[in-house]
Amino acid sequence: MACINDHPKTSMLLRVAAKLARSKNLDLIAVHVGNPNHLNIDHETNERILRALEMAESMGAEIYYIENEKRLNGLVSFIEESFATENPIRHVLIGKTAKEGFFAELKQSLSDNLIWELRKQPVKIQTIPLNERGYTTSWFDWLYLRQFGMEELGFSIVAVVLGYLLSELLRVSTPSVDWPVLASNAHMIFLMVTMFVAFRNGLIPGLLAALLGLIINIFCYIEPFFAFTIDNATDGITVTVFIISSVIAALIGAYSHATQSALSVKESRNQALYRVQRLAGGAETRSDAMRIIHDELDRLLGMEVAFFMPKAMNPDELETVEPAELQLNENDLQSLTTCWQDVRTTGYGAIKQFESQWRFEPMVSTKNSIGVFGICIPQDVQLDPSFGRLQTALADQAASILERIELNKMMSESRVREEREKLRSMLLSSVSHDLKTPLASIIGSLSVYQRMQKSGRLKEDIASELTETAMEEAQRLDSFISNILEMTRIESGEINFEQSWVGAHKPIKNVVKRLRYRLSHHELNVGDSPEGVEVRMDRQMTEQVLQNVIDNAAKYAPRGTEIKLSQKIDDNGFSYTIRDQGPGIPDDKLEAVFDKYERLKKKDSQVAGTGLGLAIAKAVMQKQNGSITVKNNQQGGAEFTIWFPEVRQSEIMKAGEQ
Amino acid sequence: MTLAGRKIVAIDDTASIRTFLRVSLEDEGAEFYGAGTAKDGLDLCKTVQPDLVVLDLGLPDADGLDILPEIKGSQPENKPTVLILTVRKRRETIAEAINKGADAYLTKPFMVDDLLEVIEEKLV
Repeated sequence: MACINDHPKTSMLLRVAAKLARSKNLDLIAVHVGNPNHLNIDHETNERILRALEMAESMGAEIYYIENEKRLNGLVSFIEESFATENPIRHVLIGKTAKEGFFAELKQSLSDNLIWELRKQPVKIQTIPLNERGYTTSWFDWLYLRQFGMEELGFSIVAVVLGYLLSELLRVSTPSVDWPVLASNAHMIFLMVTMFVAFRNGLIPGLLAALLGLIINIFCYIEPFFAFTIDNATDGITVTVFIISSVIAALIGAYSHATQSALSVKESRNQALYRVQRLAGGAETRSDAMRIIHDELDRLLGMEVAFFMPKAMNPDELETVEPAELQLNENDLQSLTTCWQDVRTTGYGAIKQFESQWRFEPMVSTKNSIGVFGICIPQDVQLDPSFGRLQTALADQAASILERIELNKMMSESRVREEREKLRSMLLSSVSHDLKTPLASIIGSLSVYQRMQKSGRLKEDIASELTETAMEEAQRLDSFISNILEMTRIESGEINFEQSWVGAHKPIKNVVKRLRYRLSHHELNVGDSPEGVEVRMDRQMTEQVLQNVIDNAAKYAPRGTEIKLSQKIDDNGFSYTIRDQGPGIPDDKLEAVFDKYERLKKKDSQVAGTGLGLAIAKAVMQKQNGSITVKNNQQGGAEFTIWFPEVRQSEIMKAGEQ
Repeated sequence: MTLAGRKIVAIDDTASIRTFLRVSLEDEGAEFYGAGTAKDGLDLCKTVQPDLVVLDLGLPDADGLDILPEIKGSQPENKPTVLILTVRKRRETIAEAINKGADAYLTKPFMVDDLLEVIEEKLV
């Protein structure tokens, strides 16, 4: 059972409790005792308690909110009641704050009382110190610790001298006023000076101003003048009252000063938290987030900060993530390891101290420890109590940002995996269909051939029809297999594109030869090539593109129709255009025809064949800095344009012109 | 075996498969009709009134399984024998085809002798 209150470090108590519960295999419950009469509890406190309870719930704890006027009674009766149930409370963790002030020392703390009340019960009560030693917690210490140098002390002297001059001015300018009145005015002026100095520079300069004021007062404004003698009781009282007033003035001034600076420190720290959230919140990878937070904090705090995460192979050991070049000494490392293993703050001001300048704070998300956030405290810097809270808050914030990133990553990874799995199985069934259909034709045709040959009924014309069919399908199968291999090679970057100047007509010749069988039912009409034109291309790959596009046209256009291949040169470059007399392409599919998986989206393929041909054509053209596009010709049929950016007149042609 | 006088409709979108089916079935004496789409195939069934329909499943305009009942229903008093020819070999698909009235199921690729054997068994 963990007792929750509004202390900012209550989350640490929860972590320790969760860890303990896990290791002992106990159920975790979190309890907060609220006082029903405390209606004036402020919003922020409420918020903190709610957040702590929420965190407990997310750690898998059962949460309870008990109302009782006395926190002690509430806790004791809750724990005692549990003994009668099946799940008695065995272990209680309660926070213990350091006692502040003289009177608090005399008072028994809640945890002490709880231990006393339950001393005879079978329950172990463990207190978790929540305050960090080493911090000054009272405002009085604050006044002392303000840093000051010669400049501030000089300021005190100048201020007192100005006060003296003001008093003298007052005296000279008002000769008619009686002496005692003037002297008390001078006292007032010095008190004001003291308060002003203390407000501006803190207690010590303020006290210095008070002392100087006292000296000048005794010297100049108390008879006998210009001597440090006080010869009557009235003057004695005056001086005493002045000393007391001065000290009080200095204290009040210094207190306002301290409050003021604390406020501005708080302001700048809130700013830091806000900026970290804003800047790192959008980061997409852990290392990005940590780099952003690191750079921002380096700048805002003026101290070195670092992030450590467990090694992937060995989660018990940490490695530095940011900044990568960080060097830690033996003591630092010991402190870091303790922080990670015990899940608690180590270093400056924390309970576990090492001879190290680093202060380490565990980064704990709702589920587990993510890593460690360290700040290197320069030797000359005095820390205030809220610094520890700032580091805790920063570590919590970093943890939540990192957790969110991890979660996003896992989600998108599993989505990608699912998608890939689906595509893979679709590809497999499509490929097997595309392989088997031509094979079915080949095996079928040849088996008919064999059967008829055996029976002696095989006539010449039937024989050639069957062999032709088998040959055609074998070619189709071959081109399909080459396409798959080609696509794989292009995608894996295995193909080196070698671009050179090639005569525009040259690739066409080979393509026509290779497509002879595929084009046996269509008429390929190759238009005239522009004379002496050279295009910068990879010849072999361009042949592949032309072949795929023409093959595609032959696949979809009805038998006996014409496929027209024309060439064009213009200001933009050079292009081949392939136009068929087929049904064309639906407008919404004009882009999708180049999609590798387009065929997969259909239930089955209507035309046995490559499926990947156009996707390959597009990939090849992209690699050559060109493009392939398609539109529907106004007179019907699809029209593919294969475009190259670089074109020139061949050297021989130029020579001929001269 | 002779298929003399038997009318056979083959619905398959691959022209070369229709080609060798035609050659071999005509050689056995059958009257052969070929169609490349589901729609053409159904029309043929209505006009030809075949004894046997050889049906591919992956047709461009419909799935063979979907038109199977219609083929069977095109001649209520003399239902044609339907033979499925497809690359699909999942058990669920086969079961569905049989459920919808298919008389035999052959997976591609196949030897024509196997096909003729099945036809003989179902038809003669």
